[in-house]
Amino acid sequence: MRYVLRRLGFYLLAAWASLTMNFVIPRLAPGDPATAMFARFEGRISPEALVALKTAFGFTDAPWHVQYFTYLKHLLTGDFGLSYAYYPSPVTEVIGTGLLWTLGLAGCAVIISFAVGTMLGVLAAWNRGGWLDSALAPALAFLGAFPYFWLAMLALYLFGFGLGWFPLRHAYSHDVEPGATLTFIADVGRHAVLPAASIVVATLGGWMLSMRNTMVAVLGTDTLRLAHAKGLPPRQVMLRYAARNALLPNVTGFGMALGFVLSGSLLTEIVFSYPGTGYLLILAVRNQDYPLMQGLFLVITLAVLAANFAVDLLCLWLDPRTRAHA
Amino acid sequence: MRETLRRLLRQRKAAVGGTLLLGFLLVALVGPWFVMDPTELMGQPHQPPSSAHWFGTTGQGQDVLAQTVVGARETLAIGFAVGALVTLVGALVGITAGYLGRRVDDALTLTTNIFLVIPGLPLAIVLGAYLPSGPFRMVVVLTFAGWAWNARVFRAEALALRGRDFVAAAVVAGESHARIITRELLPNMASLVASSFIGNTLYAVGAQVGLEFLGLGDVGAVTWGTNLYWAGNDAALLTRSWWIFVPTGICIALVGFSLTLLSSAIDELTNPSLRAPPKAPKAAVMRAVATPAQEAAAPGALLSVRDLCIEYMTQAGPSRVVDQVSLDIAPGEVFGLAGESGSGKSTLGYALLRLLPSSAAITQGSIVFDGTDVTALSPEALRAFRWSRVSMVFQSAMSALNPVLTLGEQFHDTLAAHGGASRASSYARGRELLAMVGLKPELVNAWPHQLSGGMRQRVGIALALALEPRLVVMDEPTTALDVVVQKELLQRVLELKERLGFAVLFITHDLPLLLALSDRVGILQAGKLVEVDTAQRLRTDARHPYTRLLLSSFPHLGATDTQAPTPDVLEQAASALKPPLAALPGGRR
Amino acid sequence: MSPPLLEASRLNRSFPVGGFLSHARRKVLTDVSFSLERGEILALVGESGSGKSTLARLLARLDTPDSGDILLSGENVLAREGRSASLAYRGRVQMVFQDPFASLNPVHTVAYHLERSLVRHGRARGVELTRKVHALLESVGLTPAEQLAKRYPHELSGGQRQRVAVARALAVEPDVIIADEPTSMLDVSTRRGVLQLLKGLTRERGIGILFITHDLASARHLADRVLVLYAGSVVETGRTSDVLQAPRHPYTRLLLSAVPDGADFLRTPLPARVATAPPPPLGCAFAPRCPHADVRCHEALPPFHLPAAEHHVRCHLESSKGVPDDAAVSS
Ligand SMILES: Nc1ncnc2c1ncn2[C@@H]1O[C@H](COP(=O)(O)OP(=O)(O)OP(=O)(O)O)[C@@H](O)[C@H]1O
Ligand code: SF4
Ligand SMILES: [Mg+2]
Repeated sequence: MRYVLRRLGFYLLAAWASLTMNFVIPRLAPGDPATAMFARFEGRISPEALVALKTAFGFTDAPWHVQYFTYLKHLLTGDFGLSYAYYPSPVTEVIGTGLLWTLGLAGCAVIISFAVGTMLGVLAAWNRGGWLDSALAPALAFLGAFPYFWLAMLALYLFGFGLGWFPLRHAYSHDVEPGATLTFIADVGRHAVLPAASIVVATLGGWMLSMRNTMVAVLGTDTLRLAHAKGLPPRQVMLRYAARNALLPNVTGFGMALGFVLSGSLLTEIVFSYPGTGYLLILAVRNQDYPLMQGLFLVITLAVLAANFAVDLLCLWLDPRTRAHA
Repeated sequence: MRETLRRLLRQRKAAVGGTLLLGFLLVALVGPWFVMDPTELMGQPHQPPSSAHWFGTTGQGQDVLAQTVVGARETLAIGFAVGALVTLVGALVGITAGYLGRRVDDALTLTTNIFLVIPGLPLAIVLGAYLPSGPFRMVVVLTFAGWAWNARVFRAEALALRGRDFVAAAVVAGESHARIITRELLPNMASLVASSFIGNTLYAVGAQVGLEFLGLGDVGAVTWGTNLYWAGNDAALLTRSWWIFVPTGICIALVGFSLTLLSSAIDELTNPSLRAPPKAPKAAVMRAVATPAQEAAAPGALLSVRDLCIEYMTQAGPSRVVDQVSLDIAPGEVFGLAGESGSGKSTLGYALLRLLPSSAAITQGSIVFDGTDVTALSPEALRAFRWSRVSMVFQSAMSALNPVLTLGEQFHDTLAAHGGASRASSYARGRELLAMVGLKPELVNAWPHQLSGGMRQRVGIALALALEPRLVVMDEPTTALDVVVQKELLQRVLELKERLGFAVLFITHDLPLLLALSDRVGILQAGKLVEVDTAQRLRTDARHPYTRLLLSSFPHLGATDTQAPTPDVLEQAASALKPPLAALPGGRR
Repeated sequence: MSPPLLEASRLNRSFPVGGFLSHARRKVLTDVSFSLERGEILALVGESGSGKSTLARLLARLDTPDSGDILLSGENVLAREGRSASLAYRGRVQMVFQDPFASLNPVHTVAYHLERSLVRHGRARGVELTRKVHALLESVGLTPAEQLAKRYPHELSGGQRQRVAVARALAVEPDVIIADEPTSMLDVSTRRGVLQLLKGLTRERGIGILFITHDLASARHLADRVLVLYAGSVVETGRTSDVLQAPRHPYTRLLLSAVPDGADFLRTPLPARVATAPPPPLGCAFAPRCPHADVRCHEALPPFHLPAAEHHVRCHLESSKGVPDDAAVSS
């Protein structure tokens, strides 16, 4: 329990740090981006509304610490300001559904990729020098060198535009009514295949290689020698003794890499016009919609922090040694 | 250093990666003078590759080849700049934290960890949105979003190095902090710096391309990322103009791949275990003409080893580490095997269970256990043979027990693998065995990390006795233990041996211990068994000079031997006794 | 009477255990005092975890005690210098580490290691440097010196490395050498050479050596006096012949009976009980394992008792006299 609380404390601290960065960056930037940012609203909203917006963001003449607390207070009440691109929708509303799509797509892709990659890594290390190790691993490493979004473009080009097997854009067809119906779920699935597959292909090699390397290290330990000496069946040695122990450092690595993979998948969304946060992000960048941009940064960060916490809990469950200190 | 470089170049991965990368650097450097102006509208938009435009034209009508070549310049320049900067910042933060420790470390590590969990791209976007555009912005943004990973790696390395005695030795010698960091720590980090730099450049190229694709770069500049940005904007997909985005993507991937190859080459250099193991040496032909194994075995012996040779395949060719060893162990006997480190004791022990690593092989000789030729067992028969007939106790049960399974599970796996015991019966047997070695039966539900070193070693013995084997190989089971714990444990082993009647092959370098423990003792020197005799006779009249040297090397508690030979005599004796290495039959060592 | 060369007085050291906010500390050394004379070898023996290396680090000033004093030729160095040691102290007290594979920097040559010590302490410079390096190597028995000086640590055997480590300590011409298990990582056939080297140093140069070991047999051969540490406290100290031939403390007896020596060492029972309880907070730390423990031992810390000249024993049994014959160990 102590361990869990410590980790939770750490993530709260990290969340606070990102909130603060969000506050500090616009104020430290050269020029006067804050003014520029609000200048874009001028003409579109009434001066009173503009003042209200500035206050909401804490851009007042008050000393910075007062501004800071105003800012924190607004965030805590869930007020991220108004989006410029989707004026006058509040940022929270714009982000809301986008986040769900992102988590669904990236989450599934990342978990599939990690699971498959890890399994391949186990097999590659177990059969050192076999075809999996000497042919598939380098091939996947080469695929992993392409930017995610470029693979997405290629996939869309080949299987969407070229062969017409998959839909070209969005998360579901316009003529399907969203709901918990089978047709809708099937439609969402069909739309998700290409983006998810391109993320999986881009990341698979990385997971495979890192699992293979930890596994190779584990294979050289006395634990494995003892397992063989005991005459255990090879499959059991591979899974219960080698893979189980190699999994631990790899899951920790998985947590670390989450933010990175999520960043890549945001770009993939853009290629497919997938209505997730990545797509919103580019809208925000192109329209210089600062409130939306900052809101997205916070929301994505919080999602990654939560995922990291989940990974910590997973490690706890996997490793009796951490459990003992918990 | 030069030696390291030479070895690096000899590697195929490094050679391919290096050549590829150099090629791209060359293109980036001189290529722009040989192609058209990449921004000029040179022809019709969306033209497929032709003789006028080898890579076709963009949606505006610019030459794609020119854009690809010119794009390499800024992309790679920024990539390497960020790579260097991130390495520098990361190393600075990491080494400071790792070396200074305490409060400084706490603070820096916390900061690093926070930056690590904050996703890089959104952070880069927020930061980038507020900075004036230009290549400088890209460098700042990417460094800010990417330094943390490196700081973590460097901290871990600095921490590990700081704990090494040579740093403490430098402190004791009176060296200053600055000098310790620059002359003691940094030179040891050379390969880490190199591989970090490569890894960071890889990150920088990827992240830069991503940000530019989003439109966060300078959309007027020509870089690989902006090329893709414009490809997306100009509807390259809709118009089926694959040539606009494919060349750039392939270039990015090739650069990335070359960097990956280089870094994995460096990894393999510093961590040889990642390299593919060398193939084991072939068994000598004479094996086929040797007398049938069973005939050679001494009558009445439990184990008969005859003319056993074991070779490791090393970089310099095969090396023989066990050389024509013959020995017999009678049922219920304690046979001690003594020898200095590297003499091949463990290798011999592993061979009895055919547990040699894949780079080693039995090239000659036979091992006959109770009528079974161990060297000829099929994989399935070998699996059944192991542990039920011969089991083993390892030097460090600490690292031999599986850390993620309870003791009960490890007993169960063992028993179930040799004849389908139910979980309940395995646990019951586990309790019984634990009690037998003097541990509480409840520990069957404990994890290995909850036990002390001595307790773990007892578990190792309990596990070895689980199937009531007739021979237990013990490879330095007490070397890591204190003398008091060692004596407790050995007394228990002897007591169990009396009760259960198994034979023991006890391996250690501690000759006095072995003489007290064993019925017979064999002395191994550089892979050869130089003398075998009863413990009683070895103690009083050993014949081989090496045995006598070993015996005289151990000081006694008794008052009889204060007149020890002087060190020079000892050393001369030692060097005279070591056989010339190259003279060993079977190859070099 | 001149003060001892090196004297430690009531040294205490504890380390924080548990996480970030916890104040728990584990006591590793409790009131350790001893003195070391010029030209003397003092052996420090005890099981692993008894605090031997911690004590060595305190004396080498790699670590600072929570309380207590270190006196060098009668001068209280901690009071004068505080946390970081002066170059003058480093010039007089040197250390040889346990693992010669770790105590030499793999990227530097043998000569570099020695030159740095010489230069840093102004013992040689310029052309003299090389000559001095070679002389040092020869004095520790590494010949031919010219050739060995150019080697890197990985090109040396374990015994050779340990000799380089000793040479480095000698380079500063110290008065005290702290040797932390200098032979435990070496092969048996090279051990004795290193031990003889250390012994020679005390005879020829009058250096005082604190020899840390878990091997009582080599302590017997090398040391003039022995100090037995148990759970961070000194339990017995005295002349080697007194302590090892006529041990008074139950723990020293236990330790001696476990030394693998003689044909029947495995047949004699260990004079100890299986510990069933943790050590009492106030009494004797050895009480849970001691076969002679009684109520006193669980309630009060035993005082030091002097059964013979220079022989100190910390045991209630001793202070109230009467060593039971059955527990005496003959060896
Ligand atoms: N994987 C390997 N590849 C090449 N040589 C090896 C390998 N493992 C061991 N050797 C060599 O084989 C020889 C014998 O090794 P072994 O481990 O059997 O020695 P040992 O007597 O058990 O030593 P120690 O007392 O240090 O345990 C040594 O020279 C060693 O360097
Ligand atoms: S004081 Fe008591 S418990 Fe401690 S050693 Fe002496 S007799 Fe044993
Ligand atoms: Mg060994």
